[in-house]
Amino acid sequence: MKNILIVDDEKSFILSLCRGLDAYASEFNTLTACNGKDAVEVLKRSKVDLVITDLKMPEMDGFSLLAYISKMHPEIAVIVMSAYCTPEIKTQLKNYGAFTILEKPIDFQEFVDLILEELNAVSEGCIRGITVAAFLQIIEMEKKTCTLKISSHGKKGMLYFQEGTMIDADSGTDLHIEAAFDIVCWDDPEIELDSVCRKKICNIHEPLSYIIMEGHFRLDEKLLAKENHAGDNNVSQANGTGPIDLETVMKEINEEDNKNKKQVRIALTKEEKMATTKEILNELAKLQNVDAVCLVARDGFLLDSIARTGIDTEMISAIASSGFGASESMGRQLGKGDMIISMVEFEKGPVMFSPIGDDAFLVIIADKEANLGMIRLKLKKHSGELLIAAAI
Amino acid sequence: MTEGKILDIAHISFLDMIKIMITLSGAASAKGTLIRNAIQTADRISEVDYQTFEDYLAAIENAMNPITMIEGKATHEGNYVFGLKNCPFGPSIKNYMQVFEKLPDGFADFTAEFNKQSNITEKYRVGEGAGVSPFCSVHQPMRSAFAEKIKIGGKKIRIFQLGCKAGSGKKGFAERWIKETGVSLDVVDKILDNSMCCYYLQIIS
Repeated sequence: MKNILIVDDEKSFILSLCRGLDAYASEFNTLTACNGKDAVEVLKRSKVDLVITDLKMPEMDGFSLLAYISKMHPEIAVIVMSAYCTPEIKTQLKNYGAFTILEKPIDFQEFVDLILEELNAVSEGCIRGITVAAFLQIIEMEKKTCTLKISSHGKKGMLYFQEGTMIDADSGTDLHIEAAFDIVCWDDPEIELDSVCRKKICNIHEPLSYIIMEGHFRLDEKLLAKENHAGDNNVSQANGTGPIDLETVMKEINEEDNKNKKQVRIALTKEEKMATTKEILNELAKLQNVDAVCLVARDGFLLDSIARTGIDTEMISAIASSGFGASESMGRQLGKGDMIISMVEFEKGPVMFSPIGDDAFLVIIADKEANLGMIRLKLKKHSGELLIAAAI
Repeated sequence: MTEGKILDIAHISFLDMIKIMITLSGAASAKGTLIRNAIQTADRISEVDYQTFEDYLAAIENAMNPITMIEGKATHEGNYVFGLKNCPFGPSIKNYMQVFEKLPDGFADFTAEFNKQSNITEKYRVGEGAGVSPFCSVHQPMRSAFAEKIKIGGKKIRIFQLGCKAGSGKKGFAERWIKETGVSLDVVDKILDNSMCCYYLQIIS
């Protein structure tokens, strides 16, 4: 059974509303509070689906209550009742989110219809077994307006969409874009969809493809840092000594890594290398909506590729070499260091370049439905293997 | 009336264009572009089949040989090793140096890039130390690509770049190709005393 909470300091008004709402006892329970402070207590104790509140109240007014709900319970729908709804108040209300405003004196039938409408709008369904990124791309494609409640391993977050555009996010620990970067990477999610967007102010201005890509990139960086940290500990433990100079440890790890690479280079025949390179390219080409994967020498001559029919990989390699070289030159000119990835986003999809060692780079051609975050993640995962397999 | 410093704008533009390519997209990409250009030029020539090696040499003398058309007359020094007296880019370099005194910046990086082992230099058996200037990356692959259009007695031929000499007199040797062809380093060195370029012609049986 769903719960609504009516907050007003006029006890007689609350009483008359409750009497009228008795007829809907089979639809929802009605809870009451006489000011914002009481309402907060009720919200702490009970699961509330809809709050209907006055603005002018003693102790804690409606605005303070709205601020509290926005922060602590962004998933709760709110109807604001007010006898003094000036344009200034309406603007102020918008800052707290997307609330329905009902002007006093209220028409009871309109009041009931609004309650039922709000209660029916929430929790359209709960989805499992799909990644957050994939689901968000559907929301974007369908240009849906909604609020998503995402739960994953004890974490709870909210994403707000207006006509398919993500406008805000709250991960419980972060807000806005930072929260969005975090939530898009949550695994094994449970996604609950409300067909209303509970925020009006747009606090996120980046496109979804970028948010997904950057989110996964950040996650990947975090995991790498964790692995490196674990590696440092292992080296330290293995040596049985106390604190070790980090630079020395990293040098040792790099030397070991280079030794392994050299050994693999010697151990693999040319045919084996070609087979392994092909396997890795295949792995990348298997990603959804990826049209071509080309391993290209920096001079623009194609080393290997997997591409759908119609893509002239030789020509693409030559052109990509200029694009890749130009991106690198720009980075050098700006003092930005080594290039990690370069992406050109076209109307019909992106093209990504990623260096593979000093002498080659990878070109990935995808269509606009491609999951860029996933491509970026796979790129990072396989670039080391490619370097060894192709022994470039 | 003296000529003074009258420049060939085509020479100047070409040299500066290479510099711009290096600056904008890096030495590797610029190298690739020049090699591709050389290969595409070779694609446009017709195939030719000389009955004998002597006929091939005669075509050089008559300036009818496709390779001669792009680089001038080479001298057969014996055992299929050739020396080229003048670098085909000599006039361009001379023209440029006349005014600007030194070649554009970035050419050394480009030359190092050309000498690095790569699939394309391996395919055309060039570079590997035999590059002494960016022009080698046009000239050497172009000659090798032209050679793919030539047959002797119905058999395909291949060119191996053995060495090259810069205008400064500094010699560059492709030890890998010298070893593969079995030509002695001394022979190449001696040929380069009087030539700017040295290569080996192999008739594939």
